[in-house]
Amino acid sequence: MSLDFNSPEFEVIRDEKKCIQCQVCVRQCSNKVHLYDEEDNVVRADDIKCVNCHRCVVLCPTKALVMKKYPLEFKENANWTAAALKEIYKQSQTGGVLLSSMGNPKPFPIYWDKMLLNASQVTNPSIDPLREPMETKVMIGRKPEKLEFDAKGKLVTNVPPQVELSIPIMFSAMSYGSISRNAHESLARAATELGICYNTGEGGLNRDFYKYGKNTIVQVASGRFGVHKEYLNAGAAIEIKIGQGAKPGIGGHLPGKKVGEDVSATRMIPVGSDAISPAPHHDIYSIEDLRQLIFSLKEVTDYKKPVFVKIAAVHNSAAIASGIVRAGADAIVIDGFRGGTGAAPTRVRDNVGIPIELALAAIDQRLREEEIRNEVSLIIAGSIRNSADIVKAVALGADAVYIGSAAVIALGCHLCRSCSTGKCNWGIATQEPELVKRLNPDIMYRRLVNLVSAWNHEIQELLGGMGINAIDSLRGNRLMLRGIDLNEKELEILGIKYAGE
Amino acid sequence: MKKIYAFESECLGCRLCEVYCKTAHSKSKDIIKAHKQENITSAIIIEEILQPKAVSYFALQCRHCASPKCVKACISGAMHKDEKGIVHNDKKRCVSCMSCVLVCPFGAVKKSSDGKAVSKCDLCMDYGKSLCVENCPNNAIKLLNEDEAEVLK
Amino acid sequence: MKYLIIGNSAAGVNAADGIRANDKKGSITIISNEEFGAYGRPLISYYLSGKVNPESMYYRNEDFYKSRNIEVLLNTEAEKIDMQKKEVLAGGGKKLSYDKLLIATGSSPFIPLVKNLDLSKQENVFTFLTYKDSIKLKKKITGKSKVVIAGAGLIGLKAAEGLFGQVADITVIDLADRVMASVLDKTSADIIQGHIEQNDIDFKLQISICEVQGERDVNRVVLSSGETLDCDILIIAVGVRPNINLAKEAGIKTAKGIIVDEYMRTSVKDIYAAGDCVESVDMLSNESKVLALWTNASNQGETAGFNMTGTEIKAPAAFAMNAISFFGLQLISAGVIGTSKPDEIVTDSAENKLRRLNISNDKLVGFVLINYNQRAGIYTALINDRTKLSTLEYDITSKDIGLDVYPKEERTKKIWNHKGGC
Repeated sequence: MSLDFNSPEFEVIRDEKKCIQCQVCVRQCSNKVHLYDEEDNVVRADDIKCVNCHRCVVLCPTKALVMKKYPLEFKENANWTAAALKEIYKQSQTGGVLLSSMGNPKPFPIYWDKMLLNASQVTNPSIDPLREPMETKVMIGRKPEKLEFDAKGKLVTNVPPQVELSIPIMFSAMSYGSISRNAHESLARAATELGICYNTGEGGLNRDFYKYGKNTIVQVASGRFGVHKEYLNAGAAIEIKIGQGAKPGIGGHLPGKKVGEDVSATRMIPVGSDAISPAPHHDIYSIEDLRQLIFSLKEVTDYKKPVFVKIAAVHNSAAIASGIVRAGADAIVIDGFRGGTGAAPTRVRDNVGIPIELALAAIDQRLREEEIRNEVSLIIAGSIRNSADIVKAVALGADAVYIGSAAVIALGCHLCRSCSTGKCNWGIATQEPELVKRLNPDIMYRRLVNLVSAWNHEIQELLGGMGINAIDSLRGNRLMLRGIDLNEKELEILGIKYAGE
Repeated sequence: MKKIYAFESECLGCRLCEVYCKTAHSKSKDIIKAHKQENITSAIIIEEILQPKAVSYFALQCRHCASPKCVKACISGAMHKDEKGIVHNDKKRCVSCMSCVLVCPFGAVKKSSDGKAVSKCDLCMDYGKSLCVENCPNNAIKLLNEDEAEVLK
Repeated sequence: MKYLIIGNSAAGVNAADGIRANDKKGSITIISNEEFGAYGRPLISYYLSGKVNPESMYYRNEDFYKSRNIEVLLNTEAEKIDMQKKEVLAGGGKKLSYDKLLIATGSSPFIPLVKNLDLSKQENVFTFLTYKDSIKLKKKITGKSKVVIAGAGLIGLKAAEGLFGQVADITVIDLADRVMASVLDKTSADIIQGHIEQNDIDFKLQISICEVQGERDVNRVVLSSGETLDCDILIIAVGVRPNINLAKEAGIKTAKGIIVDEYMRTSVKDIYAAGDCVESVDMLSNESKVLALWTNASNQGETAGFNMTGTEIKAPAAFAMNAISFFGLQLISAGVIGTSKPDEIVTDSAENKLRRLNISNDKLVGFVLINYNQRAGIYTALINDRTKLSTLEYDITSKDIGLDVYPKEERTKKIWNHKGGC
């Protein structure tokens, strides 16, 4: 008998009064938790396999299922928590690095929730977005110092390439391979209908999706998977990925079993081979090297596409951002430490990087001080949870945000954080055809459209309340924010006053 | 006339359609009672197609044929086509001789579990909406007229 | 336009429906020598057993004739067809004129030559083909009745099942070595026989009745084996013969049945025939024969009806098929069961369960299913469509059949067929 600690994380509770033995749960669980016992005509569960993804809960026609935290207790210890013990058991069994999926779950401060928005009262009338025009369109790209017109009023300034977003929201980079083809299709179709962009991630772009190019950001990452001239020209902009909020300083690894024929063709790697993205780009060791890559990409796309550079929010992000602007990037993407991932070493995910709110405030401030803020757009990512987060981000200086976790949640994700197993019951983080099928793009693209449209309504309401009729007018307007439950230093970095001040 | 069309590429084989089909044709119209207290046969047939790499599925219901063989074969007059073109089986008159089962080229008529009458899809006319269509989690079953069906073929 | 239909069962009623679908105005008259409105003829055994009550015997709703403006003359025997005058002389001196005539006179029981047998005198000897036969029989039986049934075909066995539990004992006698000899092979027949025997019905096979004895009614039968059996009720169910005399006397071409083309036209203009009284071409043997099947009669009746109105359609291909159950044992069969020499006959059988597929030249030509799977119609379609089995997705003998047997394209085509459907 093994001495391995083998206690389930969740307990599957089935209300026998409600269970009709229809076995939908049995058929739908890719982890094979549920099992039908024909002899006794009951459905049983193997708790230890349950990842609590709620697929069965949602599909159970009689709502007979509930998952609860497994009640096994350890002797109370504020230091040696159950989670800490379990990690040690696991590592002492396997000798391996702990892996996790999705974003940092630790109780670090969420600064969005420590900032409050202003509203107009008496002196500056608020605006009703249902009755009056309200602009949420933004242009992403380098802005000229000034605009010059000829005698006839015609613009003579050469405006650098821009990406127009009808709403300041984009879908984050999630590669084809890490997520399914149907998930990609849903994102692409939603972005197209919404007039925004989605991001290919570093997995290349399937040719079937070139038709969504106007609403696609194509990514170039350290593995350079699927990168070729046509790919670079297929999208609306190119994003160089230096780092990712969930795992700053770490590369990526798509296991070979997820590299089927289609993924292989798209990534331009053999079927079944592991797709390993190195931690650094091996041709970038300095800002000058980065500039070379930026201009190589501009050259190949005839200077018609903006080039974004994405970095993880780390301690000296502000200085790095300044360098990126000077390297010629049209937009900087900063990914906070709560950003999601298909798989990351747990210790990295939970301990490396800084909160996006602080990084954004610091970068925006630095670029203003250096008088280069206009030369670049700032896009932030890393756990934007709702429209208020977006409005606060814009007030802190962001031009637009990326949403990744929120988008996959709209696609059905219940944050079970088991992406790396490849058995995603919702058809998102999987390449198994039977599971991929569960994500019907016809249904799911609509949900994404609904989500972003709903947020757009809310953004307009919040802007209107502040008496602002264009999101551009809010950008960097930190007077619209007040802090709560923050110390002096935090207020200083965020550049905001305390509530009541 | 609208008929139910099943789409193989979307069908997950979860068989929720059967659950709702049974409920729709139960006396209680209650999902739990229908399954625990009544013995009802689903009018839907789920086919599993074994492919080289995976299994695919599709749900099959009565096609409500323009010229239904089951109606011609029926010895009791139970099987009939109404003015709307829906083929019904009048369970009170059905003697379960299985002549309809013998001739249905889709294999879409089933002997019911109580052995009393055959079961087939009636588009849930009692409800005014087809419950399998309403409850399919993946839009794999659709109620469409001919033109709509052609577009999605 | 005046349409006259002789016969009020599957062919006649479906013909009336077919006419009405195409001609809303013409007058339709149906004459029937029976006293009941159209009923499901195969239901007579269910009536006998009490499973179906009189109200449910009817094949069409009460308002069928009225709602379709059909005149129906019951208890009326058609006696003669006058082709010159385009008239039918009916019992009671009635003269019924027509523009288009359908003969759907069905069939009658065959009465074998047996010493002392005289149905006109013996009140305990029955045939079992009409509702009236069943009513009379049901009245006559008592819990003490000893019943002998001559004929282990479909009718004889259904009569036996219908009587089960209502009489003292039942013996079924047949000349053949098995039950339903014209429909089943020996293996399948043995399963059916065994199951029926479990319900206390005795069989005496390869035996015939040579003589009946009794003062007035029959009280004993003498068998070819020399054995005698006490008998209170004798049912003669050894087969049927098409009713062709009316047609034959009028000069219409007949053989065993009335000869018709695929539009159900007889040799005489404006006269059509359909149902058990005609010969059809068996698509499997290409022979012209009487295929006395409910489905065939319905199809032919409708076809005749359409063609009588000038809407030309051909009758669907015909071949033998049966769906029947005995004491809960379900039998479904079609096509050629295996009297011919096929390339392959596949039989899987377990207790009271059998699947027999008769495959010849890459085609399914027949099958027998006993308590097997429920999707028999797909096999029937394979026979009907003469589908090459090598074009299918899997070997049909390897597993239960489903629509997945067809390649995806074919399957989609079938499901998306809006016009024909079947």
